[in-house]
Amino acid sequence: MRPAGRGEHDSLYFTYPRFAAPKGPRGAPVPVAIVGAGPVGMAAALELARHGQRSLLIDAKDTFNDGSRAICLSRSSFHILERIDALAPFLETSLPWTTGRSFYRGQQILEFAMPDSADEKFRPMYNLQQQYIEQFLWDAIERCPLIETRWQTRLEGVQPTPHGATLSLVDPDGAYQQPADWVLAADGARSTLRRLLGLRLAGEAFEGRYVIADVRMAHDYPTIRRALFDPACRPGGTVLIHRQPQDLWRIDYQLAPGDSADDATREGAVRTSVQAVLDEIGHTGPWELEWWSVYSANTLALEAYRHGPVVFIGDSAHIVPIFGVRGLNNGLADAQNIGWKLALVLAGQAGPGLLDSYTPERRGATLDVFANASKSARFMTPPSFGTALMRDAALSLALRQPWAGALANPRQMAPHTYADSPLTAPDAGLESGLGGPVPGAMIADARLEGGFLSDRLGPLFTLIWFGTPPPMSHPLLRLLALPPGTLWEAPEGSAWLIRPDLHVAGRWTFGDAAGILSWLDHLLERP
Amino acid sequence: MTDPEPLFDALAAHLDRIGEDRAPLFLAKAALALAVALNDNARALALLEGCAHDLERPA
Repeated sequence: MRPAGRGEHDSLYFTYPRFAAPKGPRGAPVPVAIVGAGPVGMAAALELARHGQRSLLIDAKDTFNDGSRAICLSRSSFHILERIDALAPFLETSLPWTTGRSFYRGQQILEFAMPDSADEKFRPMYNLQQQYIEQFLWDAIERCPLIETRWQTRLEGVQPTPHGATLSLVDPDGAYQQPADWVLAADGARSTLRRLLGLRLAGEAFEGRYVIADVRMAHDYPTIRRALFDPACRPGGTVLIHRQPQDLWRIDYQLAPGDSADDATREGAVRTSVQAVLDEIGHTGPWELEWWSVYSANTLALEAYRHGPVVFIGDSAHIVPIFGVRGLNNGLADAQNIGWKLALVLAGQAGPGLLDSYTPERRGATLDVFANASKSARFMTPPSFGTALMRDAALSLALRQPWAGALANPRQMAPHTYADSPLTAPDAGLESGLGGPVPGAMIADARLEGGFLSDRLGPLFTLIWFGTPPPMSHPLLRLLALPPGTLWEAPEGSAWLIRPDLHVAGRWTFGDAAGILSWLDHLLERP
Repeated sequence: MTDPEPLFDALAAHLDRIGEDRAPLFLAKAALALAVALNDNARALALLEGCAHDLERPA
């Protein structure tokens, strides 16, 4: 929502483009149709294109999503953006950060820093408004001849066919049928595809509701996330404050259980609430209201993320609480995960069984977020009398005892480890006490001579071999030989097989070329 | 075993001063701080479990 007199896309600082209705032929079969040109749909199209696969991207709107929405991009998302060749403007524009501060009744009780070091190419978190995220992904799509985008194109139906699905699409010129071998549902929390297939999200709804408001102001505070518990401006509630580029500040404040969301999102009420927060943090200068919205801290997901030829990615598959900052980040990881797998299947380089790993891997990541969200939620929005009393007890203790402040640490999440994935090899390093990343984990980056480990990895699979590797080759594999001990205290002859999404497919204390290649073929050609 | 007398008296004095309204918060802080100071979660959890009994007036 925006102040009276301004339209939905009438921003103080961002010019929304207007995309024309599609011209030219349509209806010719495509290998992949992606429904929804938000950040997740665009990232999926770019990941497919990176591996040489064409896609058709459709969206009912004629511009980007309104408002700043998801503003925190994690380190793992920056690795994804780098691999789809969209990174440069993100690095130029976003605000990196590592630190969070928590306050209880106006006093600081905790300062936490997310893990970071010179071995990491990217910082733990970057703040950037979602419309910039969409703009920068769109700029990459416009450079890419393998992606056709049709704006102003609405999905009205989906029919399964023996070789995929046919979408019923409507644009300003009329209705037509669009066949596709595969359909990626990137159409968001209110997914049309989910409704058309009769699927429902299941899970829990937490009580907490937050208003999120963007204000523009000259405010002198570093890029540090502030969490205010039980502040004077909102007794009993929680307030979050994030800095964004362009002098924009994101203020999230919790509504009390009895508050009506309709009343709370009226412009006057938002202005009063924002002013109270600014008074609390000592901002005395002028400010302008840019945009606001309201959300609930729900944890909802589909039981299965793939239904025949239709694969759900991003918010269409899962809704997570905003304060975990895993909504968009997990959506981008979904897009990358299905993107490389589908590209290999379309190219005939992997069997369709490879796609069966998508739901367990990415739904596992969602369940991880749910478990973590309930830990965060107990502090942000205590769900019961006992939790609320113990939350207050911990916060009150934290004023004098640092151990209690750690209970309020939001535990910004690391990428999910695909330990139980069918693509993850049994750990052949456990018994010998091999260090380094375990099978299923996303590798941490490392500084190597002349750059970073992530710069040296291939577009598909990489085998990192410590010492002199035996002669071996595979069309999808890059061999990276490093001196023993360069990383992870890895001994001579040990080896790690790294997937296109930087997760470990397997590790071996005593690498054996035939065994590793046979695991690679096994995971690619899964029946 | 330590002499519980001064602990009993001190808790009573704190509660008198703090008053009924804030007593739950004080007791929750005290229980959590003491349980952590015990540095033995199994024992602390067993003691908490024990304290959860016999809170009702017998019929």
